[in-house]
Amino acid sequence: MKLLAMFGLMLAVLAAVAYLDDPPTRAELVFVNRSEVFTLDPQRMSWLQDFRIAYALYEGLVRWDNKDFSIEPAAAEWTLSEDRLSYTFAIRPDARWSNGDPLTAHDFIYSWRRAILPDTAADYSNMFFVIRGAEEFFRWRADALDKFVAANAQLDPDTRAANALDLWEETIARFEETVALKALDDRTLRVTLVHPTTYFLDLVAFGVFHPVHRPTVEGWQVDEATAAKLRQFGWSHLSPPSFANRRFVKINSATGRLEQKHGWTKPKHLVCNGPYVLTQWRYKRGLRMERNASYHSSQRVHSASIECVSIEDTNTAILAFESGQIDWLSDVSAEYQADMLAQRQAYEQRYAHRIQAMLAEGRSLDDALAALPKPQAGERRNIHVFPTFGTDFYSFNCRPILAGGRVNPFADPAVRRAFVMSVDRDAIVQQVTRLNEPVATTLIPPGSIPGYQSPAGLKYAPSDARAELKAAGWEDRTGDGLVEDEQGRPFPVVDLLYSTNTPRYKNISIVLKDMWQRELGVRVELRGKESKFFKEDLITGNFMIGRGRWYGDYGDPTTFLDLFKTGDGNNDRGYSNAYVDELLQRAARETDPQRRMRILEECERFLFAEEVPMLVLCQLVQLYMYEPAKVTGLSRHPRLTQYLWQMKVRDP
Amino acid sequence: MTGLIVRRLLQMPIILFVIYTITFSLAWLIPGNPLENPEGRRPPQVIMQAMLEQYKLDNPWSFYWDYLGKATGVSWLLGQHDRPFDLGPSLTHQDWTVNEILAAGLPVSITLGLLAILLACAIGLTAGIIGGIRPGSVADLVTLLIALVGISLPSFVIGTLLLVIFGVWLKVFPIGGWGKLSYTFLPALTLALPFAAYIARLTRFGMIDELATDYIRTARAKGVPQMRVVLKHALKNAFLPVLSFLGPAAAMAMTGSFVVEKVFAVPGIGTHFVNAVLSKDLTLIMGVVLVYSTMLILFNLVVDVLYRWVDPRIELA
Repeated sequence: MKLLAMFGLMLAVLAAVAYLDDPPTRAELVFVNRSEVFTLDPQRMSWLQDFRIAYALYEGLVRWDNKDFSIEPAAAEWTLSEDRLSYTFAIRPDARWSNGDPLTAHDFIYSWRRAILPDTAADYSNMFFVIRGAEEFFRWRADALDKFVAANAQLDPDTRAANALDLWEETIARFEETVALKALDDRTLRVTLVHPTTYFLDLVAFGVFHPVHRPTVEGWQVDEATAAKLRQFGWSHLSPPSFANRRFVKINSATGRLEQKHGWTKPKHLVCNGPYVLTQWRYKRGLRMERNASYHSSQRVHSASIECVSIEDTNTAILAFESGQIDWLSDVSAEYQADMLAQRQAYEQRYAHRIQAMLAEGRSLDDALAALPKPQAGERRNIHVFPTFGTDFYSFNCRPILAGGRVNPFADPAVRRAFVMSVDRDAIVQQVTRLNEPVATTLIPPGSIPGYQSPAGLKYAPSDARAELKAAGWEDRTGDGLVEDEQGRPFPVVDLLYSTNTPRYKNISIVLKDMWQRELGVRVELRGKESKFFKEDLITGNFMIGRGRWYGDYGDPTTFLDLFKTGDGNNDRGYSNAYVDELLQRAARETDPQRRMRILEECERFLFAEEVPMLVLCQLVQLYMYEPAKVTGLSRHPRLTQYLWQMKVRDP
Repeated sequence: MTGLIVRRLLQMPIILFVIYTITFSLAWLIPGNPLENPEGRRPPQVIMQAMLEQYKLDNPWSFYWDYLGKATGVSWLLGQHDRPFDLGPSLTHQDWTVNEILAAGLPVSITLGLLAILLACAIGLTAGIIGGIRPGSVADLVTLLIALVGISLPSFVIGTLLLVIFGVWLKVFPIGGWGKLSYTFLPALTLALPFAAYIARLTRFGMIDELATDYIRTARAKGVPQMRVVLKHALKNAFLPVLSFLGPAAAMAMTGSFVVEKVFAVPGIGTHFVNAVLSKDLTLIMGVVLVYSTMLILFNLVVDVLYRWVDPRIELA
């Protein structure tokens, strides 16, 4: 009886606890993000799911609308100087922070300084190096910090702290002196670049260039009189309190570094300037945003509240979608995704004529689908394939010598061409991945960058492939079906490296092995590794052919082509070619945007018609789930930025 | 009794130190860099070096001692740190501290675990008693069969089945997430079923043994009603093996289940055990392990004390 009473009591308490934790009412738009949000600090972001939230909470000087920069952003207008080096941005007079403070040019200077400072350790800090003086400043500060540690190690703590503060003052002065960012007045910002950069506006539209609110980021305690002043003029009219009175930043006296804590990104602190404000963010549960009352163009914000739910498991997310709890599922990676797509195709085939007719009338595909009768059993219209700004490929190791000290056959472009031309990409997307991704022979997704014409790469041509291999000195001399060189040594066993985190790469690798063995007479060995070990091998060059993928960051070919620069940090292939380096440099110096594009086209042509440092398979696709009759405002542009404030859920 | 408690509490720091050292050594050996976006662009070398230094990841010794000092509160006592028991910022989810992550996840895992154990007791005891009263009857065979299924079916199958039936078809429970009681029922049930099955079997065998004893026959001869015989007299003794199973079972249920948390999108801390290791999130690994070891040590102590209270004949070292 005693025990029973105990159980009863515990049950009652638990029920009360569970009941009190009552979720708020359903938001107008509920979606599942690609993955857990890592940070809401725009300068430190590097994940797509983070940027998606950033574009709802923050607003940059310009905004990319998938065609142009015409969506009303924080800057009312911008002008470019004659020499194409100086941009002058006029900030809208009605642009305000969510707490009412005016948005000023100083906010941008502060935020960009944060991103450039090595102390912040922002993944994308080198994107700012197009600004004159930014790279020099970055190097100077990194160097000064190194010297500081060496010079101050023996000093007593007080002197060290004073020296660290001195170095910080010097850094600020140095920044103002060297980096070409000037506030002409409170609402006018002038940026001067190192050389004309046609895609500079695209960078400015990127999340890491979005402004943050200094008193929030640094955690100033503000009294009412100061707050009133802030609301009128912005923080640049105040001198910040001493570091002891700033909650989230301090100067580390041992390293001299500015240390920043990240507590300010929580709802009770966060002040932002975008269409939404953050009202709730709970770890692994989700994030909720409500319309920002201080936003200048609130009529363009379609949903009053947005909820981003955390559901890690893709099956559960699909079930939650099917039950109507979720309006938009932004990543469908279930193993049965291809079967779901087949159901969608069955639906489209049944109504092919009507869909064609409606498309001819100029209606969108989603509109057309919404107008059709409900799908029957075995059909569906709520799964959608969106092409992305990314490409799937296999890298060839282009270093002359392999990690083990052996000679690398793939250092020879002819061998690489042979391997590329013996791959039937259509068979892979139709029978292996079964997602029918658009096949590609070049790296930059065709049509994704305005003004850029993708060149043609190497197509599937098995007999040409064998001829190439023969020309490179590899031919079957003994009649055993395997190729040998002139001395009769067989082609080294090809070491094919892939990661085992998804079945996709295992399946593709098996088929590639088969194609190469059949078409070329080489032996291929598969080496699947867990992603951490895989990445280590990739970076150290311990592979002959390795799986890879790349997503572009900004709307310029260099976001892809920089991968082939000699010594680039992401050049896993160890590829180096003087002509490619020269073309990239010429493009960087070219002031005429059209001529520049022609240079980059030549660069990509040379890379994928002659050199092929990688075997490009296809453009990557993203699968979404949403009811076409309910959800509007999703963009089909490969960049897939998806501004949440443009989205709306209506009753079907 | 007091001696036992004091002794156990004195042992605790030593055990925790050993656990800390072993976990740290293993975690440090995981390849890779927690600060790197595994699929994305790599930041320049200088930046990566700065990040590693900032989180003391450039040197295992400095990390080991620094973290130990902050986590135990020694740094705070020495005035080198502004607060005690600071488990540091998560290395992969940098806007959150490990303290915040645990504070968000622990109550969820504990609530879910306790609910599951209560459900398991309710289901398991009922089934066990029904089976134990008439061994070999249809009711007994049915409960045994269900118990067998409960033990052998993996949670992700049961969980997904329950989601499809109650979430998608009947629409009586929401799918995924955490909040009102309605959110807790399906995951608690999934987590409870294997435990319930085991408890049912323990109770059934205990019941069969007890019902055959002399004192039960005496009670029956005296004319005590069947209900009273079973629930008051037989169950009391048949329950003892269940109680000894409940200790480790409760600990297991409250450590959070990776599978159940994943299938039902429950924001508990079970997933951290796996995900933190996969992403080499050192601070989170150490934080989760330290907090859980502390909890388990305390929990074992509570169970031991409870034992003594329920059955004073039991001697404990």
